[in-house]
Amino acid sequence: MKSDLELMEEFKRGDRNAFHKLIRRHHVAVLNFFYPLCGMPEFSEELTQDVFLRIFNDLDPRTEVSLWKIHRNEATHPTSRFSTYLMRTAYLCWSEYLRHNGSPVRALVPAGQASAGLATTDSYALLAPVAEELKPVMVLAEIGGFSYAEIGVILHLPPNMVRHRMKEGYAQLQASVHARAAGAKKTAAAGVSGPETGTSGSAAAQPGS
Amino acid sequence: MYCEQSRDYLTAHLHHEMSHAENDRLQRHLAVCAACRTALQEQTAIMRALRQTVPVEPSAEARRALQRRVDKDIHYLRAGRSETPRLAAPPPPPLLGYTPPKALPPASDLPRGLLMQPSGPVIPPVLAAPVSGRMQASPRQEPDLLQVSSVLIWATFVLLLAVGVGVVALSLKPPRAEPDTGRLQRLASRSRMDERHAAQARGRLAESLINTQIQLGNTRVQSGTLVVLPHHDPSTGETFVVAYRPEDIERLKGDPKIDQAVFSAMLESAAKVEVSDGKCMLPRELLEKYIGAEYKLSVLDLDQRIEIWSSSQLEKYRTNAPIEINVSLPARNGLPPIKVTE
Repeated sequence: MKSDLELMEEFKRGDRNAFHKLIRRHHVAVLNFFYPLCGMPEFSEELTQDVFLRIFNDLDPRTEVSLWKIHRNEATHPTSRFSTYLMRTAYLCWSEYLRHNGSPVRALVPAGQASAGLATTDSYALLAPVAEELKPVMVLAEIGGFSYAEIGVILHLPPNMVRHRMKEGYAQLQASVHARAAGAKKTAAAGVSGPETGTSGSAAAQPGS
Repeated sequence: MYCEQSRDYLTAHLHHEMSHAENDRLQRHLAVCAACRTALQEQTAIMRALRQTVPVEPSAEARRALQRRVDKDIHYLRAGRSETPRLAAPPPPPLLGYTPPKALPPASDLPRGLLMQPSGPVIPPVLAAPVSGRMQASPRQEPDLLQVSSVLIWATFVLLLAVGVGVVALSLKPPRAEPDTGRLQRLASRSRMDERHAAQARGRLAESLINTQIQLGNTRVQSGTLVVLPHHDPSTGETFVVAYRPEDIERLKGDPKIDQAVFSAMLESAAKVEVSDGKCMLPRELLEKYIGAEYKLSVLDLDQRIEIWSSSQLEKYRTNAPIEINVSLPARNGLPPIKVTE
């Protein structure tokens, strides 16, 4: 199987199928970077498409200021160069969306996942208690499987800051677990069974298509 | 390691992002701290939960849509780009539309009766276009030469215009003003006057010298007589004028600490001056001889004498003078008294 860099070189030589192979290989990874951040599969798809189109334009030889040209000198590990470059592009895409739209997108936590706590299988519901600026670090580490050094390259953060944000994110999740356990105890003691409350209480409109 | 420190390391420990030393320290702490072990278990559970989330799969429609968009962009972007590898950059456009003719082979190398094409092979006259003889020699050069000649004409016109404008501007420039001789004369006379005034001031200073209140230490001298004598130290080269009261002169004459031979030599040049209303006039020749007719003098009122220095020499003396130390501390807390005199 050809590596990502080989496929890139083939695409630069004019083989469009090489780019489609790259898309098939990394489509799910990019999609699952966006979904825990925004919570909407359709919108994540749109952002994923934007990422691949940006990369397509970025790899064009006529592009003078290419992110890839900058990134290939920053990435420390040759094997992770394309994946970190891809996630760097995805992160820039997400940052741009936040910059243009102000507050981050908040979707409703799916019913049934809200009260499941750590048992939920929905990444957005699980990361809902975490602050927005900490989420990309946690998503890249736990769902993307990147090391702290690679996350630093992707987010342009020093290693100590990556470590600090990971610690803060885990602390917030731990606090929410404790709060949930305390609430469950109170409910059990009162013997009252009320409606379920989601971890992300606020609901916002879906972003414009 | 304290619990607070260990909590900082727990997350990094889960991701194996710690150094060996940090890991050892954390393990030692976890062995004795149940609370941190519980926290580690909680964080492990959180990590497992995060890693067990179900990844979102792109729908088939989304895959197709992405493929369509990419293909559309490929078509759009490649519209201006050939599929073949890019060749070297095209040559730059000719300057001012003029293309220099290529070097032709010498006429002796060409066979007779053949027409010469500027950028192609030599062809027989039968195949050449039936045009006039002038166009046959170089059909592409004539418009270029026309362009060059037009550019030259325009350049000549612009040059002549610039020269004309320059000539007009020079002719319209106002005539240069004549130098104001009267002003120069006034300046010269003022300069001479300043020199004269400065010389007069120097003379007045050297003559009157002390126009301030004369004091010997804290005692004002309102009236009486002062003995003015030069002081020259051959070892240091310092020269100044010193004024004493007559009674002090008498006392110094019998002082064994003073070199009487030197003091006698000083007294030979001494002069007596009268103090009136706290002021006195010092002899000009004495000052000029031993101090120089300096514009700036310094007067030092000491306990028993007045020293008159040229300011520059006094400044030099102060710079080179050794620091005098005179420290005297009484006995305190059982320590002996300290006395340093130099």
